[in-house]
Amino acid sequence: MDAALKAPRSRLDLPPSSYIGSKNVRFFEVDADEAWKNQARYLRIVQAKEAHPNTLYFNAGQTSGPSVSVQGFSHNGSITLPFSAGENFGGANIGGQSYSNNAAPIILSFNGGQSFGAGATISVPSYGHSAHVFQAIQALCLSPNRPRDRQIADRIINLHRDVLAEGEQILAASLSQMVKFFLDHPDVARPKIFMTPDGTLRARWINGPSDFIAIEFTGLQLVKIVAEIPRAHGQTATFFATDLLETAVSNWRAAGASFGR
Amino acid sequence: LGDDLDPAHHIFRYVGGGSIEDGVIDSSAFRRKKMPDGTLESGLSVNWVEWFNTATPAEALQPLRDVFVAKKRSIGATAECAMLNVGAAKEAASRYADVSVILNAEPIDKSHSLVTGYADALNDQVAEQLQTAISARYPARAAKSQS
Repeated sequence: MDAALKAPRSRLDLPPSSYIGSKNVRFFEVDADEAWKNQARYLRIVQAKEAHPNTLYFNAGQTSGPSVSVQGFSHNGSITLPFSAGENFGGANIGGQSYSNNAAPIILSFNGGQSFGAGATISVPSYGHSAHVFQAIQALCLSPNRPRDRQIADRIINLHRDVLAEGEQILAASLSQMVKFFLDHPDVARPKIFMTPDGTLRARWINGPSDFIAIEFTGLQLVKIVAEIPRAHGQTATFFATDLLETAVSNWRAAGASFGR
Repeated sequence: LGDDLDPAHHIFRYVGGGSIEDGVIDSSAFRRKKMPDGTLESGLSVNWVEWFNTATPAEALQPLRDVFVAKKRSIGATAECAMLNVGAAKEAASRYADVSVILNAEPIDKSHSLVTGYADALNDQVAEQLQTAISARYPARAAKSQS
């Protein structure tokens, strides 16, 4: 993999005026590293770069002011984006079509006649491309907690295959977060693992009727928790919550949840 | 929007293979999806089983698959169609919200219906309840015939 792709970057690197007006086509590398994991599942354009899978490119000069966000575009190996010439995206949050297709490069094309403003940011979803899945599998297979982590790796492979067949993809940030969680928590059992309709991964430890806890790996610091925990007198406590991932296991164990083992 | 479906009738919910493991269907399969603009879709897409007017629910699957094909929907090898009784689904969801199950026919998907009428904030809760109301499950993809 191109080392430049993994280099952490702190912000969009778009010189205020470099791309105004006269350039025909520019390529922008997408930052795929974990520096943006707290930015949910969005990648950011970082700098002009040669053509590369997962690149964004632009025709001559576009306007995009600060805080522009591109979410949920369609890409099917060709150039598709619901933008038209002459729009000013300053401060806007641009919606698009649903994300589909898994093998094609991520390509956004803007029509001409616009210009970038200083400090512009454009973010796009980062889904679990095969390289991310490979890295996840590799990390799990190299883990000292081999039987459990090998099973989780096998599940990720099967899940990846199943969702690809349906034109869906695992969110890369969610996958990375889940793998890290298991590497950090060798004491939790292997749960059922699913992908939600939003592309996030969800682990569910089912201990019996009305006795489970599920963690949804959002890719953010706060993960989503759903739990049913048995209480006295045959009652069940039900929780829908968010929590910090790093303390979720201890917090929810204290609340009576079981992660197996 | 149309009227509520008969509570004695049934709906199919397409459940992708990613929502199933070892026979367990995750409740997230019953969540309304997030749209590109960050809002949730207006209702949970389902199909009205009785619209197909077949003798059994299983016989409604093939015409439903034909609709999926017409809509260019990829049907995964491990995907399923989960069946819920309309009344039971509403009863289960009522723990958190009074939902409606309405016909929302589309040009090439005449049985298309929606579970709707509940706040976005209750998406997870209603999904959790709907999952408990599954009464039957069928392979979404037709079995290959043996020759």
